[in-house]
Amino acid sequence: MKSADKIKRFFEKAELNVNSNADEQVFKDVLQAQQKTTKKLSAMPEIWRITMKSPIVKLAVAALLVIACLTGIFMFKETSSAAWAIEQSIEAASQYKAIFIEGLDSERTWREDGSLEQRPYKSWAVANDDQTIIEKYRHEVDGIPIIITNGQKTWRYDPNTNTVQIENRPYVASECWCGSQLLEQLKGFHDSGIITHWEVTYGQEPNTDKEQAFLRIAWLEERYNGPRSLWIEFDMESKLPVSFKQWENPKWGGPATLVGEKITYYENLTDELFEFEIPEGASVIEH
Amino acid sequence: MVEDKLLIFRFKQGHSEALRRIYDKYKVGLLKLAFVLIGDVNMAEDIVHDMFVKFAQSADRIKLTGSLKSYLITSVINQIRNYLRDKNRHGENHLEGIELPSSSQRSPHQWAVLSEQLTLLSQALQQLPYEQREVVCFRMEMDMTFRQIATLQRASVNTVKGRYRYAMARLRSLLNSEVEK
Repeated sequence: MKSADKIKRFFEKAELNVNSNADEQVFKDVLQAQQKTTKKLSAMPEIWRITMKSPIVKLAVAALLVIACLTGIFMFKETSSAAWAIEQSIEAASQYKAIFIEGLDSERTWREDGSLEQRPYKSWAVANDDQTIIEKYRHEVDGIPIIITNGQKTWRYDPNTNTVQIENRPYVASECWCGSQLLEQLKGFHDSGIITHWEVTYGQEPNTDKEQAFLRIAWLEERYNGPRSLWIEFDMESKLPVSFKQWENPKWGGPATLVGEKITYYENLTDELFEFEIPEGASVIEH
Repeated sequence: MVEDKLLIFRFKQGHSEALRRIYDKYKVGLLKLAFVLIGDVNMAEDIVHDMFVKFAQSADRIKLTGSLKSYLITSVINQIRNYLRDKNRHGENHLEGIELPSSSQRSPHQWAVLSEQLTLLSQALQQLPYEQREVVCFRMEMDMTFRQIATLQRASVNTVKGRYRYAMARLRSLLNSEVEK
């Protein structure tokens, strides 16, 4: 055995235990300190607001917070063959630090006939190693890259004016990663009673027989950008959220203002995806 | 990792059972780390106690950029460094000649109960310069990589590796007969 291994073993054998009476006394002090801190939930709304305000929201939140499944594609049926729990999805999502979402976004623009104007988008996001922030981000609308963030640099492109704005900061100042962290938020909202409606149903994709779970949630509180309702589809095999829809009302009413038709998970995404090429003739404004 | 993320989330919401779980999960490791680094069990207890109290008070402000374990270790290390700096500033040769109490000498109200081997280990470690002590403890006790230690010590990886080599050579000679048992 190498001497380093012997010393390692010596460290392992060098035990420390705690006196249970003293231990309870110490924890009592710790608990009292916690109880004096009254601002419960103060950090959570901050994250939530930042996330929801950002345009990426739409996408970030989309990543998990939303739902969807196109009506008519899925055949719903109640089944109890396997139960879904959000903790499983939190763990499953934590295995991936990169996400791709494609779907339909809206700027709440309504056409004369009353229908909602929606545009197709694609978004790619990569988290930092700890999965606490979005480190890289690419957002395309109608196939045009609109926002790209690569670490500390962000390009924003306005195709109407052919202008590129460059800023030396991440586009998403949020601390929130749209993977497991958002599911954790969702769970926290549920546990703390902010979410007023939480309903899980099960179904099967008719073509493939793949089992799915559907989560329908809604809340009213304005400080969490309510009223809002979501519908999230989870694949029962992987437990991952695979699509979503989001409404800005508490009853899943009318057309969804944000739709993630498909969410794909990756361990990572190539750096080239987060390089911005200045379009020909574009004005560049550096901040 | 996921468990810690959930724990910290619930802790930030004010759930005391999450705080209890965090406390139970990390208290022994942190106490042991503090003790082997400073060689004074009373001070080690005070530092870890104080760290947990501050941690409990910080629920609304805490922002983890890494793991919970790293956060707690860094908090303890910062307090130890502050303590050592204060001691040095007051001109005391703080770690030389400390007589370490054995477990049988401990007061029944003492939080940490030390094994004979831990006492021996701490005594040997006190013979090393503080930076070397940290490197060995982080490697042996916390299973940290040289790169992680380098970040924590704000030194290069090569410097950290050098400290480790010197420390291990010295420890081998100090604990020579003990490690063979």
